[in-house]
Amino acid sequence: MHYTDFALTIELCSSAAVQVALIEMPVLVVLSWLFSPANTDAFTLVFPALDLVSVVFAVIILNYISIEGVANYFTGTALVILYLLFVAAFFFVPSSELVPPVIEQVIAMTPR
Amino acid sequence: MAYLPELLFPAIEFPPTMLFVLCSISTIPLSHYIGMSLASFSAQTTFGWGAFINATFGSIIEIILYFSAIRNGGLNGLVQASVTGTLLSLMLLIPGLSMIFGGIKFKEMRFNPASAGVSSVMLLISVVGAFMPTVFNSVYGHHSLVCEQCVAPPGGNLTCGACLWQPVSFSSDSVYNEFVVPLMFVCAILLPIAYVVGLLFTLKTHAHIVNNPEFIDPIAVAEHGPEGAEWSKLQCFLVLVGSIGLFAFIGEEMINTIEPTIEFLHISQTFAGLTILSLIPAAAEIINSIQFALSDSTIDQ
Repeated sequence: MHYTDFALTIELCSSAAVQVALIEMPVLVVLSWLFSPANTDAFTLVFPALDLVSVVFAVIILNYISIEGVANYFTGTALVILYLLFVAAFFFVPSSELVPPVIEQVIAMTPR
Repeated sequence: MAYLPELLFPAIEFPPTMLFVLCSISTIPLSHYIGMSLASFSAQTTFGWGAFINATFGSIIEIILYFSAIRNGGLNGLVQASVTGTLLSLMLLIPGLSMIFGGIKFKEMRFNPASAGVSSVMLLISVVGAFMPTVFNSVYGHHSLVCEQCVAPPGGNLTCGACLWQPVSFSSDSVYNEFVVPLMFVCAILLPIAYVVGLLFTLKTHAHIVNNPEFIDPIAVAEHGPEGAEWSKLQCFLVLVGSIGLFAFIGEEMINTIEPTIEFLHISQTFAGLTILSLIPAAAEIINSIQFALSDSTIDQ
């Protein structure tokens, strides 16, 4: 059993993540409100649902690992695979332009 | 660095994709220097100043990069995906990679659950707080039903199939403008307060819990910035200001060239933000973390 500086890794990662959520996101909101060219382009804290779900799952998983206090390459591989799965999910997100507008469809189907 | 080709040969038009790749590579040493000067600066000052400096400049690279994307306009999806990507890589990818490398070398690694416990509660709280507007908007925000196949037989009812709930665009949503935006600003004010209180807790009043000598030894923490301690405060300041200034330039160029790069790679803005734009500022962090996991702590059992 080895005591490595791995504690430092977990500590750095979780404090950096806390910093993103508590400092970076509010700063971006305020900065974009001050300087954004158009209001529609402003940075918003309303994220797509997939972002919310993936981040919450990641937090839960990291917390379980922190509570256990032991890490090995199997857990690490599982974490990396989960990350790749989330990346794959984001890759396959359908772009909203694929859905044709409703009005055109209705007009096309209406008998003349 | 990335500007070199442009400065040396101003007449030649470099393809934007190549410029983007060059810019990305040149950010890695810059973020390394910023991290090093921060570490050695906070090692030489009192904890309060160190914490303040870390809080201010810790995520300055990402803020600079994403802010130039926001100012560019039309890249909101990219920035949001980058923020999500940063969170995911910090919580899954970097711990995972360092576990793999450390695990191959040492079979099993132990760390202080008490110390990690403090920040894991903090992590849960901060994520719940930061995503509060998302939850609020998905409960109360307006949605429109977008259908692909609608049939209206003569005299019959309109029948629609293959429908999809979609949030309406924010500019036309009254709920968003009247309620979600104020909530967003309330979050933007309250969340940094939670961060400051968390810093006070972990660094001042309850520092003994976090720095449990049974698990974390001071030598390992001091190694945080091994070369950094050699720098004086003035050197740190100059390196910090110089690196941040250079990064602002390079970040601007990256944002200018990212749209052609996305088109070149045939990927969506969301995917580009999640992978490319979130991993570039984290590259130095990933290398550091793997080094920490590989280095033997002085307490061996």
